[in-house]
Amino acid sequence: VSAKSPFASASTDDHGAIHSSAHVAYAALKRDIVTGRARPGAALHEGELAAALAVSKTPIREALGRLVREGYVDVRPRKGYRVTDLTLADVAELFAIREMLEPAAVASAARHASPGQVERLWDLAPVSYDTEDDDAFERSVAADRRFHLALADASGNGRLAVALRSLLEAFERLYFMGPRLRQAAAEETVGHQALVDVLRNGDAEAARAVADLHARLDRERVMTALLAAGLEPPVARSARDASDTSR
Amino acid sequence: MTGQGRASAGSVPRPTTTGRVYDRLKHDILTCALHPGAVVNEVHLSTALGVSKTPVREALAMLVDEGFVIVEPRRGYRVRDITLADVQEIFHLRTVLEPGAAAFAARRYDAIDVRSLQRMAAGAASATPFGTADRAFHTALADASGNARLALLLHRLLEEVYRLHMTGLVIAAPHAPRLHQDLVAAIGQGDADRAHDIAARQVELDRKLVMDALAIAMTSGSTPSVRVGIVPH
Repeated sequence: VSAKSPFASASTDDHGAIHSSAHVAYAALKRDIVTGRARPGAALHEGELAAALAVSKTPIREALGRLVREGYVDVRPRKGYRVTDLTLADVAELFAIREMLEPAAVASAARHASPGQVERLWDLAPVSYDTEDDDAFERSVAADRRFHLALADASGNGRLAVALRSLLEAFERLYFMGPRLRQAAAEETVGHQALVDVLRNGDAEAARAVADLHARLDRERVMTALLAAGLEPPVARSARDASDTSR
Repeated sequence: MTGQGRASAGSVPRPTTTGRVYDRLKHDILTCALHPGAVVNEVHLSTALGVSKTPVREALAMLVDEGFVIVEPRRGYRVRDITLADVQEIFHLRTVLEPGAAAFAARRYDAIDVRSLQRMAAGAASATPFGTADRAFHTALADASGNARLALLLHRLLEEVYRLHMTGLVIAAPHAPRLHQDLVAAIGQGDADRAHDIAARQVELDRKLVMDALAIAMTSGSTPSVRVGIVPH
């Protein structure tokens, strides 16, 4: 249960009892950025956010500061805060790191994961994607995240897990960038069970190979979707089958 | 404190004050002037540095994000300890990331300043293992990868290695001769595979040096800053 989006609706927040208001603001803002409700390039105003979340400006400033450090928001002198763009180069960077971290994490997990952790992974492995409904899609992405985070934790290396966590969060932004990327996200789940199977056998090298393949296939699928969604020139579109272009 | 700030005050945080406090704290933590386990008090800090509590709190939040400071419920902030498990995690992660970074650097050798890397390699090779020159070289190597996120991850690990060095850990053996220079040579030739292999070898040798030094320090009780933690390997 997360805080209400300051973009979706203004509301007082009563989940704050557990978390500090800065954390609640941080989580709400980040969710809006990841899901694309706050679009790349959108201006973020301290005052408006404070009003929308019914908190003072101090926690908003803290939340924004953290999002700046995490690369979701940037600050420009005299202009204030802005949601960062996600460029193709950023995505390539993310994949390059993921292709190092995830196979290593899975190999470590094959060595160190307890039977309990393996069972938990098995339970989390089946993720069914609903790409039609927004909320359902968000839940699918969250379920996918839980699997990958459990996998990261099973590595037994806390720093590796932290690095993977922030990487996965950055990846999620991609999946909310239009229907083609939703589709790419949905196909991503293929292989979770296979991953847990090799992990269960304790064969670190086999596990590494499967994770490596998994990451590479993901890269291909997402890059293809991104190119198709973002770089398809209108000329090419109109040159296609006329019956297909209902604009 | 920063009331001098012009019209923009209120819309943009003052990165200068927070940044200054952050730099100072980070420096003290990495050099162990603030030793592992030390209690960090918000009020004392703001008095000592002559700033308000807000930049201190912001700087501490950054250090918490980075894992150098921990928050203890109802007790405030503390500099994070270094355990044996931490050291193993750090070197494991370097093994995962650094060879890849070296390979990336080799693939874009024409976009990087190889000569400057060469100078730093020579400096690092003749200096104390894990000291300032060594850290500078590995930091530059991380940057040469051209992947800013990757570089940031590596910077953090290198800072941790530096802090470990600054606890007073005595490294008995010198660096393996020429490995730094060989690495830069491979990068300069655009030989990604070789750069990858040398970097992997180097991290492995560094890990051994540190683990041996830790074993000696722990049996003689001369490194109280590093606690024996859970050993996952």
